[in-house]
Amino acid sequence: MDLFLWELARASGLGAYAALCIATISGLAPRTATLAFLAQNRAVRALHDWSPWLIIPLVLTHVVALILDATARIGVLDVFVPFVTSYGRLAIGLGTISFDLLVVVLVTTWLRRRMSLAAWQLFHRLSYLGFVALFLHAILSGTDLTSPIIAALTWLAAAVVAYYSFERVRRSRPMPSAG
Amino acid sequence: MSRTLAPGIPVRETQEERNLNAEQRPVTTGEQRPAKPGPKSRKPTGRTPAWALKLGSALFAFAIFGGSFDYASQHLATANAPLQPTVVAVAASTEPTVTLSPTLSTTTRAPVTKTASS
Repeated sequence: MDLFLWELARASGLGAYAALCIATISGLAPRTATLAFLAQNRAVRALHDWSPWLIIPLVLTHVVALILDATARIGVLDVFVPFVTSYGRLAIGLGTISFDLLVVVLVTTWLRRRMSLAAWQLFHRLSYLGFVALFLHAILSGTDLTSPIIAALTWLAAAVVAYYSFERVRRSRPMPSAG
Repeated sequence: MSRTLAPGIPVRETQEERNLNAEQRPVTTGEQRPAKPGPKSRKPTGRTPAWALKLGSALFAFAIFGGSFDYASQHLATANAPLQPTVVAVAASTEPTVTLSPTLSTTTRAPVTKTASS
C-alpha cells in the first residue's frame, strides 16, 4: 500500500506542477500575448479562472498521499507549518510555503468581490512567490527530477513562466511621458 | 474615466485609476494594442474556444500525471533521490526486541516416562 501511495504522491506532485504552470501562464497571457496564437484573451482568461479545478485535486492527492504514506513520515502539521519535518526541512518546507500561498491565493480569489482591487492584486501576486517556492521544492525534493527528461521539462516550464513574468512586469511599467 | 482640472485640460491617470480602467476595458490581445494601422500589422489571433482550452489543459495535466505514475512505478527506488528518509534506522529502532535469558520452568504434571534406577 505504501508503494502505491508513494507512486501516487510523486505522480500527483508532477501533475500539480504542470497544472500550476498552466494556471500561471494563462494568468500572464492576456497582458503578454503569450497564447495569442492559440486563442483570444477571453478564452484564455476563462481557462485561468477554471484552472483551480485542475490544481486542487492534484495538490490534495499529493498532500494526502504523503500524509498516508508511512515511509514519507509527513504529518498534518507539516502540511501547514513549514520547516518542522524531521528530515529535508528546507526542501519540504518550501513545498509547505507554496501550499500555504496557494490556499491564500485561492481563498482571496473566491472573496474577490468583497475586497478592494488593490488588496486582491496584492494577494494574487503572492502566486509568483508561491511558484518560486514550488519550483525550488520540486528541484530540492523531487525524486523524479533525477530523470534528465523530467528535469529538463521542469526547468523549461519554469523558464517559460519566468520569461513571461518579466515580460508582464516590463509591459506594466508606465511609459515615459512624451514631450 | 479621465479627470480634468478645467474643461479641456486632461490630468494624468493615477495608478489606481489605470488599474480600474484596465479591468473595465474590453479584453484585447497584445497584438491589437499597438497603434500601427492597417491589416498587415495585425498578427492573426487564434480562435480556440474556451472549452477546448480547458479540455486540452486537463488532458495535458492528466497525461503528465499518468506518465509520471508509470515512471514512478518503474523506478520505485531511486538511489540518487535528493530526500532519503531514514527508513531502515527508524524501523530498527522501533522494532520490538526479544531478550532471551536462561530460566528453569517447573511443572506439576506427572512424567510420561520413568528413568530406571541402577
